[in-house]
Amino acid sequence: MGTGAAEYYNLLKVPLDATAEEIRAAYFAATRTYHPDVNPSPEVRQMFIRVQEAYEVLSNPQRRATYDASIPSDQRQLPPIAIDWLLSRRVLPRLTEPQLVYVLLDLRVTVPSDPSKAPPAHICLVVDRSTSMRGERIEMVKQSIAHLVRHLRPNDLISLITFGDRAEVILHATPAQHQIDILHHVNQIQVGGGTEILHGLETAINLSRYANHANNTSTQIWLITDGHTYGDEQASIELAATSRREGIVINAFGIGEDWNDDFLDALTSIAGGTTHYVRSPEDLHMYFERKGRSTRQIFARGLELHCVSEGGVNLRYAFKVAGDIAPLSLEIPIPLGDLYSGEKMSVVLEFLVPPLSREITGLNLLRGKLVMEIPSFEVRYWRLPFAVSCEVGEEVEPMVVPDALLQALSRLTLYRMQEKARQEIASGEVSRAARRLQYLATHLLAKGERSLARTVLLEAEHLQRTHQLSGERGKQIKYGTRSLLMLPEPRKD
Amino acid sequence: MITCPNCHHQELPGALFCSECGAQLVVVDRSATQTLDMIQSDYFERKRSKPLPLLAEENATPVAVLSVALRVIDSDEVIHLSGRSEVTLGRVVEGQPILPDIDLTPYEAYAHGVSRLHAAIKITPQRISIMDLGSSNGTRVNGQKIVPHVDYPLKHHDVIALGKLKIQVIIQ
Repeated sequence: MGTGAAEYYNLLKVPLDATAEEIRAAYFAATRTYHPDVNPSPEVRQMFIRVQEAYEVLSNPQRRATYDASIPSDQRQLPPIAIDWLLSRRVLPRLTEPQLVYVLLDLRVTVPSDPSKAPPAHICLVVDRSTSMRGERIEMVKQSIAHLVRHLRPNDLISLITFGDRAEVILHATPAQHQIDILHHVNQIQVGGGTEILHGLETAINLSRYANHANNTSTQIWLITDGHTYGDEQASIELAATSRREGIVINAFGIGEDWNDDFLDALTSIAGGTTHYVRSPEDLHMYFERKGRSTRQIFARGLELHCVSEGGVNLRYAFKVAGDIAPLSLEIPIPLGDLYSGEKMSVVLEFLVPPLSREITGLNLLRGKLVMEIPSFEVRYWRLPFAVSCEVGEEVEPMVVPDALLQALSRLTLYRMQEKARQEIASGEVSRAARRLQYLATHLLAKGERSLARTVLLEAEHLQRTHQLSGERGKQIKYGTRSLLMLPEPRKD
Repeated sequence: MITCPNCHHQELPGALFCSECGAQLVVVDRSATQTLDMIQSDYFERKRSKPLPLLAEENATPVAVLSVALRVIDSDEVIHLSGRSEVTLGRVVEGQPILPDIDLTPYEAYAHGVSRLHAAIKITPQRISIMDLGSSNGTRVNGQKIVPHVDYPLKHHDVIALGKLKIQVIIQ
């Protein structure tokens, strides 16, 4: 366990500028997690004692000041992260009706990446072993895990949990260098039973929680499933929110056609992760390899936007278009997931601006703090203040939309069209949804996406006949339009 | 409210794409990233022209006399527009009630798909703009199609295309 200069702050997971009230709240949260009554293991007891120690110092203004003075000043400098944004309109016209404004928010690490400094990753695999996974599916999972293990760094950790009707820990966190040991356990996975995702997640979070702090690893839960969970969706989503607060990101891999994409999207977006649609063994192989590689590049993790909009401005839509592509939850704080070295994260935000009265000359569309954990720093918890503001003017200027913003929105529009079609189907407006899919197909054709366009057209026909989406094509369209966002990035200026 | 030109759905001002049909609602100014090939006349222009009094900017001092000319790229002929505040471009056909100010028939307008009343150029001391008048084959500015009946600002060296007839704007 590290005993770095800012250990007390790290133990309570608060930044150096935390207020007394925040320290108190963090202390109570930590005691709940590490209380010996909750978990009687000796490491946890040790943790509990250390948290007490930290709180005794930080809650006393004098002792805190002495402690603060002992932290070297080069560790107090703000982390090298640049926050840039582009507005669809620099000067908002003073209109008597509501209007929309778009923001492209870019976050990037301004120092070159140094993979050697990145702490080891801990990947906790949570594998569905329900009856439907029998045969090809469970085999592809086993093979992909083997592939993943070969591609991790020797000190990265792997743990394995399977769930059917209940969850079992097959393998506790083990360094990837013990390949044979890991593969031996992987091969023991037997299929049978239902799909109780909640049990799987609970077990994974308990296992990760302690490993996380004790080893200073970046923990990620990878949930691999092919089916629906019944009745525990809400509880799972609440659990995911808890896991994020503890710095654990959840990614999901849905195999085949029968999994619940709405549920997994909600689950992963609240936990700062992404959902992947797996159609073939090659898909799973590729996603595992790519994700495994990206864990090495994590610079900051568990990013959250704590922000408010002013002057009656309403944030209507948020989507992460670069980084890991994912829809974002609009509940504040907005989880953004991990920030990688050498890869920028871009978020598109849509704001609804109310009619603007005479007194208003400028607006803060968004003001707040970007909160994060930087595992490679001595001082681990940080928050960066930021504000996205625009002027308000009398004249309606012609719109000069920055290219990068327009490009991002142009692709996002396609995804949002299928999203809207889904909402329309849910509310029974089938013919509108079918028409929208036809529009979508036209745009896809114009972009040269012929096979996806064909799928969309087939689906529009299918929809008119049966009045519902087909599971397979529905997912193809959703994740297909989403993957369009991954096309070459607009050039940096 | 603004209306989508494609499906006539009503959108809030500021929308960039129609939420109904996905059509793009704004015209993009790509000229910032555009590189035009140098041709001989550009060298000539360069020697004489100072940094341009770029028009939409607030601090640009209004120029007393703005000389605007159009150079038809294919034939390399220059049409001067000085002294006018609005000019319509098109081609003259017999029996046509409204005639364009500038007849482009000599430049093979018909073959290039220029409409009879194709576009209008407006010149004020502050800015120069072009508006498509609902032509059959549309108007492009630097390759980007513009929405009919909407003013679109022009700069020195912009290339406009009426149908396929390409014309470069020269502002002094």
